Amino acid sequence: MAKKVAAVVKIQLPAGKATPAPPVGTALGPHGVNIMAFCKEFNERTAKDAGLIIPVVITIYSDRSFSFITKTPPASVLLKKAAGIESGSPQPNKQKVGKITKQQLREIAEIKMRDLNTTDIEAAMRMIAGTARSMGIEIV
Amino acid sequence: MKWLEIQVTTSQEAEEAVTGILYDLGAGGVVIKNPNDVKELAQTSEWDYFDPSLLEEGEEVKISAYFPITADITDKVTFLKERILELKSFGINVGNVKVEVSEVDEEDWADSWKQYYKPLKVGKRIVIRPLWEEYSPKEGEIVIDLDPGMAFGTGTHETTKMCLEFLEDIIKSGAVVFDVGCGSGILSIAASKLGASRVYGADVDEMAVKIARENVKLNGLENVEIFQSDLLKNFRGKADVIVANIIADAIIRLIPDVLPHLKEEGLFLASGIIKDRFEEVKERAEEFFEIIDMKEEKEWLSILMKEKG
Repeated sequence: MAKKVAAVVKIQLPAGKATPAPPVGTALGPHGVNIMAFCKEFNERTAKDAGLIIPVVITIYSDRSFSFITKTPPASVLLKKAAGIESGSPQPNKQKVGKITKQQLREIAEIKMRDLNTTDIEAAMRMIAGTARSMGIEIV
Repeated sequence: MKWLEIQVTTSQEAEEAVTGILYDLGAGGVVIKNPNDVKELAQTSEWDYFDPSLLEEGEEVKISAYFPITADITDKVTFLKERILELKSFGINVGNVKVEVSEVDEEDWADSWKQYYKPLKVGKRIVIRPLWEEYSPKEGEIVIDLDPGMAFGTGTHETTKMCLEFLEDIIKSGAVVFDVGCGSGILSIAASKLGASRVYGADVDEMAVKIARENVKLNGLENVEIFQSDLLKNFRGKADVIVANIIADAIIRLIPDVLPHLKEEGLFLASGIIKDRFEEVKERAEEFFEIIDMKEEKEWLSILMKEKG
């Protein structure tokens, strides 16, 4: 059967912990995808990344079958991990909650490069640095 | 159950920062509608036909997060708006920001997949009939009536299909069967209808136990008992066939406990194993078992084993 794409959906989820609750249910349910089948497959494929949030792009075909690809974790998650913090600052302008080095910033930018719409490492670093500052993470 | 959907419309550049703020608010995940993701996918070769209407113009990104409706939800929305507007001061162009809040009801989407779930023939003679569909069985067919609800096991997933095909061949009349991680109960019901005299099915998830019990009742089976158990923990006695359609990690954890529950000449069917993890499962399994047959579909494997002789 010809594979006709009916919808494309991107969700970010904790690795190995997909459940039928939102956002999975709300994003996939209306497209007729078997939600539990997706959860099982996602959890199994991402079990090794426990603790990280994984973006996943799901292609839903007209026969309601699906395939998906996983992407690099969101910058905010990588930044929190690098800075060793649980969450960002509620007042990032006044209250700094963590620090990362320029080198760490570059490493995160390199990881994210393939998913950000740029091939310019400096541009990727600028984008990640903005996200870091918005979370109350200083770059030293 | 009702949820509150918070949808933020913003720029490509602010996607990462906005999702970061949503996670800080306690979001368990987000849905992102970014026209560039669709364009990127359209350039791959994973499909034969791509509906051009899916390709949206524009650069706006819509990010949705879901929260249970609690007393402090208005505070959350206010905090979110402040934080997003503040992003500008960190050099992030947030574009034309919009924050929209709406209520979503689980009932609106929980059942939508049902309209695509049709009677399904698996193996030589098993037919799975969703409760809401009509089906007239042909001669020799075994019909399983099923409403999987939110439990795993509709029969459409490769791992379940392969188990059903194996069960068709290995269940002998009068056999005792253990179904470890029974989900919707589909394999327990199949085992009973294929001639097992007694079937015990268990799942660690209470909701699955409830759903499996309902499905057993729906099929009018008296010889299937469903209970809650972490793998084999609450099982007593021995079986002719132990089937476990779970995931690689659970199978690896289960393997050392299987033999004491298996009768002489008994069979162990392990499924839900993703190809990448096969070597690990095999290594553990071969400490106790000999692999006698295998099935493979897409990226999944099912392995049939007997005690190492």
